[in-house]
Amino acid sequence: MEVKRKEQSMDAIKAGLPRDVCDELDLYEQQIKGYLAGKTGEIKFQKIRLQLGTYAQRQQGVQMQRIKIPFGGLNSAQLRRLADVSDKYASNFLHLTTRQDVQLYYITIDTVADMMRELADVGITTREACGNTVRNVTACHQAGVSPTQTFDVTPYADAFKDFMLRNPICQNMGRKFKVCFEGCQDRDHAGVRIHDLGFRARVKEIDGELKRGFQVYVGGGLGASPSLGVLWTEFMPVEEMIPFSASVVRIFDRFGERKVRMKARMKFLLRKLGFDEFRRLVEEERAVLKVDPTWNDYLGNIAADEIPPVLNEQFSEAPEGTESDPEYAEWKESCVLPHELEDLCMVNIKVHNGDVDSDTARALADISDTYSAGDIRISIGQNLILRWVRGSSLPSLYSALKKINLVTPGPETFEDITACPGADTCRLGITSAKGLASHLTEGMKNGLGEFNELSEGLNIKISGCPNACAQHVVASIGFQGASLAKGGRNVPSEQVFVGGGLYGDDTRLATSIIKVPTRNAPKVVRKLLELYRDERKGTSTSIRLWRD
Amino acid sequence: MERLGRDRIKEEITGFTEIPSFEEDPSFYEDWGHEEEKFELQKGMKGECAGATVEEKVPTFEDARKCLEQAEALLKHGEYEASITEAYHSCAASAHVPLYTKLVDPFTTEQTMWEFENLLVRTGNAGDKWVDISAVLKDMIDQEPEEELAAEMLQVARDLYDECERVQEAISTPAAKI
Repeated sequence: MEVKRKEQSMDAIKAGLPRDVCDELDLYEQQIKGYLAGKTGEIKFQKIRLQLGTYAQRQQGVQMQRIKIPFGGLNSAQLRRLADVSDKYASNFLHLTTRQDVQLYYITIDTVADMMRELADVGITTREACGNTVRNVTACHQAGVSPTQTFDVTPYADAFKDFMLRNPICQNMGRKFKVCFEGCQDRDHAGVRIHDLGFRARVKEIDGELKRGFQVYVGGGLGASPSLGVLWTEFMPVEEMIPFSASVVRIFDRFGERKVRMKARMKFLLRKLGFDEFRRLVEEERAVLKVDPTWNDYLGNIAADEIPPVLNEQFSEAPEGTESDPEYAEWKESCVLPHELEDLCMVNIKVHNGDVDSDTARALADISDTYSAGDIRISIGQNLILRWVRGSSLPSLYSALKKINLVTPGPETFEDITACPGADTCRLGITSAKGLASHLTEGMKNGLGEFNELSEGLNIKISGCPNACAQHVVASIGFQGASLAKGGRNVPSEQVFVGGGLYGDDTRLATSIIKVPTRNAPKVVRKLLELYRDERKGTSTSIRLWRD
Repeated sequence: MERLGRDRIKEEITGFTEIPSFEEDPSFYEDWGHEEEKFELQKGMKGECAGATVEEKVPTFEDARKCLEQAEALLKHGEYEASITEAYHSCAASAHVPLYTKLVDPFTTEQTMWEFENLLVRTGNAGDKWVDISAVLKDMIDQEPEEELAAEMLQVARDLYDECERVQEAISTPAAKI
């Protein structure tokens, strides 16, 4: 079912926006004009634009816009609008990030407010996508439909987002603050121990009743000095989630470092105070915090399970022979995931380097309307997931996705390399993470292909600098952009990391090994795989053996 | 990783640290995807993910006094609404001083009063009479701005100023700091 778009005038869009959003964007527009007229200085304007997610880009005179997609959840209208906005204001593609954001590039500052209005028109905000704020709230991309989930964490992540957005307690902290929610019992798709706050769904029998709650980790973070989150509790009732979070944010805001920015994340506060003192301060804060009863109003609206959307029953017939096509079989084996409900499944769409061009995004929005009730999620692996797909529609869906080149097998596997924007567009990037990722991806089809089966459960993540936007410090094999020198010339290089992984309680940080020239990185991957093949215990290919 | 150890893995890949000279293989000096450019480290580029510098202004009782004086003058001239607003700002400016000593630096007037109630009244640093002060003040500024209300608001602001001075002194003593 193709949704026809109706062009709206900017006045009509403005008239439909909530008052506070409209005022906020009008003000931003005025501030941009003031900056362009030379009435507002660079530093003051930087603070204003970063709060709304508008970054300076490596290339002079253009901006990168980060757009928050809470828990990675998009509907088809939003994906379509993102594509349209990219065409109109940016460079015709969307970049999906490891924190479930969308980023657009090559935008001129004078058009940014209108772009944000068009996004706000479909319920998307960029506010607090950067700055010293609570950033995009991320969650397991299988939330709501995973056969192994404890419960759907989506409404809790959504409530957390609503609570923190524009909340004065977190508008001017010492540093950014990241949060995630995980619902699966057996996998850690969100990274509960690499966030300032990580919530994992748990249930507990209390007074004969099964109560919902969270296992909670605090103080995790990546970057150049990574730390794993420390267990706060095995079970925190859901009613406590927001009051507790408010207490933590307030303590971080009050005691966090504000002068030395390299040491300002909450992980450093935990190191400085020690966990016991940090805990004492948070508990003391929680005891005196006046809790507004409306904070938990959302709990009254949460259904026991996510209510399935009404699914389309009409699909075009797949071309004859699709089901016997070996490529279809490979795709089905690799990209189709089990669902909580019988006869349904999830489809994981591998997106190379997290980049999807706007035409493809629009086509995918239409496909999601037909096959997945218009529901799409972004994963931290930079892929797109259709969560409500009828098993009977798979051949038809496959042929639709094939037309837009989105049937590459191997999402969330060794072949699916995660890469940050790196030196292509980022001001901090030292090397091109996407360049190396593309080269390695080519290698997977050729020389490295022989390791595909062996490498089940392994992954490669590449960041262009030590800030770890591609999360390379929790990769089986991680590369961090660096530089070496020879004969007075700089040589693009990679610091090699080995042995990390997101395994919930057992999450491991990778060990930094050695720096090699980027051109040798594919050889390093091959050598490490050979080493793994020769040295692993037994014949199992489990991820545990890679780690151990 | 744990079984083989870092040194063994390092030994296995040490051979890949070799860099041929530019004359032998110029491709080593190019970054993938940027073959047409000379690879260079960017100088003077600052990342922005850390956000911008946070500007700090230390609050003082002088700020609160100025607001009080304004509120008094406005009341005398029959500008009741403006007087009430100034008195409200004075309350927040007074409360901001001990809050800042407690390392709290709220953004707005409303937030300051809310924090005062949480962190100084409910903890016993300020007297019980100030419980619910944030709601009381909010209720007052929402009422019709009449002379009686403006006078009452001014008195609240004066009392709160005195209370905050007392609290500030108490929490600034060496014993309190310990």
